Amino acid sequence: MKLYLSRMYRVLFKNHRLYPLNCQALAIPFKKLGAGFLACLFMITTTTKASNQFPNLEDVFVSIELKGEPLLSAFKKIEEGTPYKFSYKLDQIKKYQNLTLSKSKRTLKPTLDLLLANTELQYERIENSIVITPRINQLQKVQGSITTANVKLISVSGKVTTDTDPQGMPGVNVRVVGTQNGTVTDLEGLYKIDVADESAVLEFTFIGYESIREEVGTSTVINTNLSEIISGLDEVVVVGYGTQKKVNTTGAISTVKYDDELNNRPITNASQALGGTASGVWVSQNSGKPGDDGAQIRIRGWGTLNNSNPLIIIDGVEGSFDQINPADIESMSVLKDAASAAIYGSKAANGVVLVVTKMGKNDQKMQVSLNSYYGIQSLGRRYSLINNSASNMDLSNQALMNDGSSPLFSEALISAFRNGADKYKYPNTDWFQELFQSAPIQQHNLSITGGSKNISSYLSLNFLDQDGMVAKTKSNRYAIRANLESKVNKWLNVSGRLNYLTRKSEEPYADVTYGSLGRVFEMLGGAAPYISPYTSDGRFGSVQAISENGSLLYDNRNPLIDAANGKTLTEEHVITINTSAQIKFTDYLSWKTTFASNVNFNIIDRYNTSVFGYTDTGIETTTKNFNREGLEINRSNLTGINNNLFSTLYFNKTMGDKHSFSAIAGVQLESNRIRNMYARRSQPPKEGLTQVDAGTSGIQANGNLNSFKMLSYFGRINYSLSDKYLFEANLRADGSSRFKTGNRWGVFPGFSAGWRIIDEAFMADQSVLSNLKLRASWGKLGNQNISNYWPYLTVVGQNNNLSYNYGGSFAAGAAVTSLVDENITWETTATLDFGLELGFMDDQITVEADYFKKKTENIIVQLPVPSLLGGLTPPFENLGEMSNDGFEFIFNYNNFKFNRDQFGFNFGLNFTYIKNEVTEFAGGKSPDQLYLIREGYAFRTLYGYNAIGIYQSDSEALEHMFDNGFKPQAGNLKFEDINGDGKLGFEDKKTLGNTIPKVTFGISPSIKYKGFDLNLLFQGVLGVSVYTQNNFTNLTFENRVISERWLDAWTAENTNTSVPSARFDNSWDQSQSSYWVQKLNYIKLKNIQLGYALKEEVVSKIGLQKAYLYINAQNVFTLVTNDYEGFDPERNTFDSGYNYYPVPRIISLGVNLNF
Amino acid sequence: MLLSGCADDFLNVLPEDKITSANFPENEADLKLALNGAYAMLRENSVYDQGLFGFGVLDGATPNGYNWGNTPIAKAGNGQLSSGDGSIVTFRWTRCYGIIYRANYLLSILDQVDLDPNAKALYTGEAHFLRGLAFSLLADSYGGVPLISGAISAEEARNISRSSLEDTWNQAISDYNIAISNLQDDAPEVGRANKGAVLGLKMRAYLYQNKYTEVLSVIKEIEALGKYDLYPSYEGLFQPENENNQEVLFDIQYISGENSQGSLIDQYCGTGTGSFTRGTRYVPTDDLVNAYEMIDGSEINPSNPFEGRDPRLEFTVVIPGSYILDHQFPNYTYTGGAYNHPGNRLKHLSTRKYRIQHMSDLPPSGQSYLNNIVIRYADVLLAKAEAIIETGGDIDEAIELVNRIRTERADVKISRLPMGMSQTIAKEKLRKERRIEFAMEGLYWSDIRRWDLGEEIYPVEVRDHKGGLIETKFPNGYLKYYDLLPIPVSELSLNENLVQNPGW
Repeated sequence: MKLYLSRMYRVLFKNHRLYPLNCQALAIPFKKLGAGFLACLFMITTTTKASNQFPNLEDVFVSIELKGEPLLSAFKKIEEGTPYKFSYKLDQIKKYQNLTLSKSKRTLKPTLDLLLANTELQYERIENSIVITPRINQLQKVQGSITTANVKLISVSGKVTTDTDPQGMPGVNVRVVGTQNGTVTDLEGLYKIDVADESAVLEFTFIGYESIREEVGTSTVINTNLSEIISGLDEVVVVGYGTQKKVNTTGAISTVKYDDELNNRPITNASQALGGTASGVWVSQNSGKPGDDGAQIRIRGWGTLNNSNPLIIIDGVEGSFDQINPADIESMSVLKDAASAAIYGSKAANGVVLVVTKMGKNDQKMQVSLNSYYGIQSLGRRYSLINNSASNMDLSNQALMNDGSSPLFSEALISAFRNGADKYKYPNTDWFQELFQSAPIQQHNLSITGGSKNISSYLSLNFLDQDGMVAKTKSNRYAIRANLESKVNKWLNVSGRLNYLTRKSEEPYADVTYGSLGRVFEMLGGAAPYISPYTSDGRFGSVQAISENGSLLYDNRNPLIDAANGKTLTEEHVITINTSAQIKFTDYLSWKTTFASNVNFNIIDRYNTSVFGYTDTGIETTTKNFNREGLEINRSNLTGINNNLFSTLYFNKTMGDKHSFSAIAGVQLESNRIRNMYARRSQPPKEGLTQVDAGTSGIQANGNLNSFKMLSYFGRINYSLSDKYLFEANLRADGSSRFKTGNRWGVFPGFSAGWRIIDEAFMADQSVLSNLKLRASWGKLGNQNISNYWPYLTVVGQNNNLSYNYGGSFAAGAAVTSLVDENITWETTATLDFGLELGFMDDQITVEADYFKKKTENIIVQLPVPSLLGGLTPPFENLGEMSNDGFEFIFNYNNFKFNRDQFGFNFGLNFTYIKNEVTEFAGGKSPDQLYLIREGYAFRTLYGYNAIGIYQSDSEALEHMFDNGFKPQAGNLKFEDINGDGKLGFEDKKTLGNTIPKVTFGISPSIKYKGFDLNLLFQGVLGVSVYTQNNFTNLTFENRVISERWLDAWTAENTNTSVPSARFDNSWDQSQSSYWVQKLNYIKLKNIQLGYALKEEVVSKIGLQKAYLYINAQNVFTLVTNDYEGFDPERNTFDSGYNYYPVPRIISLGVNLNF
Repeated sequence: MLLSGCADDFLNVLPEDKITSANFPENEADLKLALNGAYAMLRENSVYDQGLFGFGVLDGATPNGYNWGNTPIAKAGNGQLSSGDGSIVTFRWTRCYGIIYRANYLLSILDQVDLDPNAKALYTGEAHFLRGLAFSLLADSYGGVPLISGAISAEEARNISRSSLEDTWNQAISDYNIAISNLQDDAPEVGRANKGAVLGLKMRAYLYQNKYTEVLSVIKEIEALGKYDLYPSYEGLFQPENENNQEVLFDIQYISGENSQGSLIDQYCGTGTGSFTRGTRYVPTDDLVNAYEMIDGSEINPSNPFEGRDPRLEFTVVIPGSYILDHQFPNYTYTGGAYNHPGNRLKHLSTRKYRIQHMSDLPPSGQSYLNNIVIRYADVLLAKAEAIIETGGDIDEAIELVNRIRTERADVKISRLPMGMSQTIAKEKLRKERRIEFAMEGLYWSDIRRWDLGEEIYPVEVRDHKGGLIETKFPNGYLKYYDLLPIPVSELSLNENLVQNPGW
């Protein structure tokens, strides 16, 4: 037997327990509404419980009449006329459809007796609930018929408590799992139930609390403690160095619960979970490379010209998302405003993401959960290229002739390709299809959560195996976590969290110049369709455009050759240890000290092999600059050790019934040492040897050490008056080894206040709002996230580049290669935030809106300096200023029912608008560049010429560009001559669009019905432009891949087009101009999941607590601005969308089992 | 703060793998490091020619060479250059100022250590030599530029103006003069500047200013050293075993090995063989090939064009059918042949000068060890001849100097030029001789500009072996403003007082 109540019901219940007086006042105008009625009931509940005076069933009169009506309507009639609420299972009462009851005024007891007289049902009153269950004797009959006739029943009894009701919790459902046998606890929290045998399992459930299962075994007394499910108004939010009740927060904080929905998504990196789910947080997964698909996270935009990555804090210690198994995450809090983040001081200017890993609860039964999925990844959206060789050749010839050159491909060759059927001799290769294959991905996660009286634990094992879409790329990850917390005694609590994660990734040999997979993608950018992927005998293919004299008309750009070259094996080991001890001095004072160590080993082994491609005539070729250094073997090695020690005092006291104080004060020491090693030898005597020792010459080695320390003091004070007026102040002082003595210390304050208007007396009479809160905050944060560890020191470089040779001998040299500003110090970001929180329909609808104004000053920039200073790297200086103003909006509608048969519907929307502007940078004297950084413009605004059409004749061009050195011709792009001087100069450049999205949004509807659930997540961007010129889209003789756009190129006959005439390497048309800029607005179905939770009855028969099956699809469908050319639009907007590993489309099937 | 002392101890973290200004310079060895660091810049791309990316590439900006792939050098030779280009536009500017910075830095730290006067003279001389060299390159390329002779602040650098062309050359000459007075006839190490090196560049500085009287007087000083002469083999001049011979006044020194002290010329500018796709970044044109005379001065036989030609042709150009890297060229099917890069449409010619000739000697990429000659004695002879002609001196004396080039080497013996020609004819002969003697050495670009030849020689068509047109250099005729390179736009945008060269 189980109480099925709506979430709304539960919320009210809690609400009421908190504020009995208000509820009573509220109840009257609500009288006619169901919700209000219930609220009123609960008002009674609480008061009655306190005074132990509930109306007796004999004292309540009802007058109902039934004429062949269902039992359900009888219940409804009673509910209308009395303070009682029925609790029942629909399938147990629906067979009683035809009841008749004469009209008469009776008390409730005889009414119920009459109603249930001819049914197999019984009733029991628990406080205000009338709980309908099958008759016990009936049940026994059923059991008896199944099992042996003479069952010896075991009687079990006990007490159920909760943290708030240590004396006993009434109304808790106690049920024998797998049967209909059940009861509820009485007012003292006591229960008594008969079970069939020792293997029976009791389940204790109460709405708003986590259910618990206990095996009966030999004990006849089973006491248990239920813990509250944290939600709604009691929801606790993780904040810096602690937690707060969400209702009491005064800062702008987004939270992401790592619930089932997230758990089931084929997320390979925890950062992906933030995407589309939290307002003010923009996540863009810019790569689909296995093992290296970490996303770019921006909290309220780009806050600085430097690294804008937020600070990631895992269990209180700085970490990174690739160091953690996403399934271990309990929740994430994103601290968006400066006041909330101020406690993290100098590292927090770009926002803070607080990650908390899972932990069991005391007195919780061990729960084993297994989550497995298997999916297939495939390439989604791609460039449209001309895959027909004859068309490609025709266009190439045309492009050459347009420049007055002779055609390259003979007519005979083109027609041979046009008519040739032999795909090895006359290929028309679709290289996206050849290079990108469907690839499997699977993940298995096993976790054990639970706790005894004094020890709670969480253990997990994770295995992720992902093959890449590009051949020979793959990655796997193993992660183990053990979290343990022990209540040693009343005043001491210790905990340890241990995480080991290892990731092995494989990809082809990465060449120094092109880097990781760069060569493969570089070749792809030149992979003409007339290159055959393979020969007829299975070797790698080559250029099949061969002239009569046998020479190849193109060089081999077969990317499969580079994908098959050697190997780059990256092995990563992360060990995180996080131990802490908390001493409770008094109820209001405690002290916690944490030591954490994060050790990172990274080993990259690389070797190459000789791989050739062959024409069908047997000519051996390699791809461009293939293995230019010869065969080599190298290993690089990084060891990073990060140690953290922090100690915090916590104070928490309520004085009187109005004044509530809490405060923390702490100190933190951090030390980082990162050591790099590199060893290399070349020319191994035999191919395929993988260790450096095998090389015979070309010995090289590097090694260095970067270290960095910080010392910090921090504190926070919270004060709330009557729980309505909330104040908070944060302060942190950071000292960093990055700056010289005297500039080392930075102090970062934050202040915030909140007003819970809903609790004001004047709000008591309104019926619309269930929550109304105003927040305001201001704070100042720092940033020191620059690549240099000693930016204030003038370094005299000494390396091979700075060395020379005399008479055949090496002569070591040294030089100053970068300028330094000794006075460099923190950059600071001040953020002002105003927030409004609203709740309607008892918080079924919540709205949260924030306006923020963020100003970053003293931005550490490397301002371009004139080369006259010697071409030295510019110094890091505190010079720039930037502002980010915007607003965020979250809307949530929550109508989930706990009853699996009821239809539930949720809808979430989050929306962020940001206006970015560089407000100070080099006094406006910044260099003209495509991604402009200049005062008065948004960071990295696209900047170039404005293409306003195409010259229709040479004379038009000459007339327009009359004073230009280079004479454009008919078919060339026509650029706006802004200053009208008849030539194209830097004065003619203008802004062409912003690369920082103005609006980012996420939409997440979900429905549940009869065990099925459907979750969707849309994510989108508005108001952003991208630059598109790359090897896929432009025409270069060296990379003869041609986009289909060129089929519509301007010719004397085809004049009504926006595409200029086809010409290779035309500097004019390839100028950075608006022709190469595209607006990119999109909405994308990032994730869709359909799941089914098996019925409990079914599940328990196979010994499980929960079984959930799902099918999930990621990056499925995108609506994007017309003519968008390229891979998935979720991409880096600061590049041209080329030469990167596209994000895959993943379709997966999974199962989620709880034992 | 009570703990501030402790805090500072905790926070004092210093690099353990770097020299910092706190402990540099401490002794003469440190000065030597700084000197070597200044020389190191000479190897960089675009200081001299393309430096470590290949000597002679700059001929791609002239009718001599075809630099495919639309590089800035190609654009400088076909009228498509822009002030935003790298290479010859931006890199040359930046790196010349890099040399000036390092030279000034060396001069500024000389007094910080105890130094023997002779050693001090050497460092002083070499620093001034390098600075003069940089200003000479800047003056030749951009005209008058800002003159920087010591440490300046970023703010000053953002406001400084250009000096006149004359002042820029004068700065170079004055640097050379200080170098000459401080340096010895022989340098302490092969490859470091000596008096001859400075005089050679000073001569060139005057030559590029058309100051022929001064050219002649500097040449007198070079002759007085008695050290330099033509090397008996033109082919041998560009072979590693003959580096630093009597003809070389100054060169850029490369070595092989793992310290990346070689150049990339064989990688980027080579002709490929077998399985290695080497770059062939620049190739000679038919225009250059046609400029070589017959040994006996007769007309070229079109049906047998490579027979009986000036031997310097074969030493400079890989002509069809000849061998390079032990493979015959051209061989369009790769197996067993040498071939041009497939991206390059000019496939029948390739560059031989400055290349490693044999497969067995071929170094890995970035380790080409052949020194690049900045100035050699043939230049002194031809400069002298030019100066004599231009100053109205004894034409026969000048032609006799040209004839030394044509006949004196064991492997170059072609018909002597006759005596008694007019100044105009002599000038033409001299210019032709310079083009041939220094073909694919990167000098022709400067010569065209100082001789004002552009309008006369362009447009020039570049054709493939079948006569197909690949490119026309300056299709609408030479653009006079190409006589000077544009000031890099990145520099202009930072300094309002920098005025762009006319036309750009």
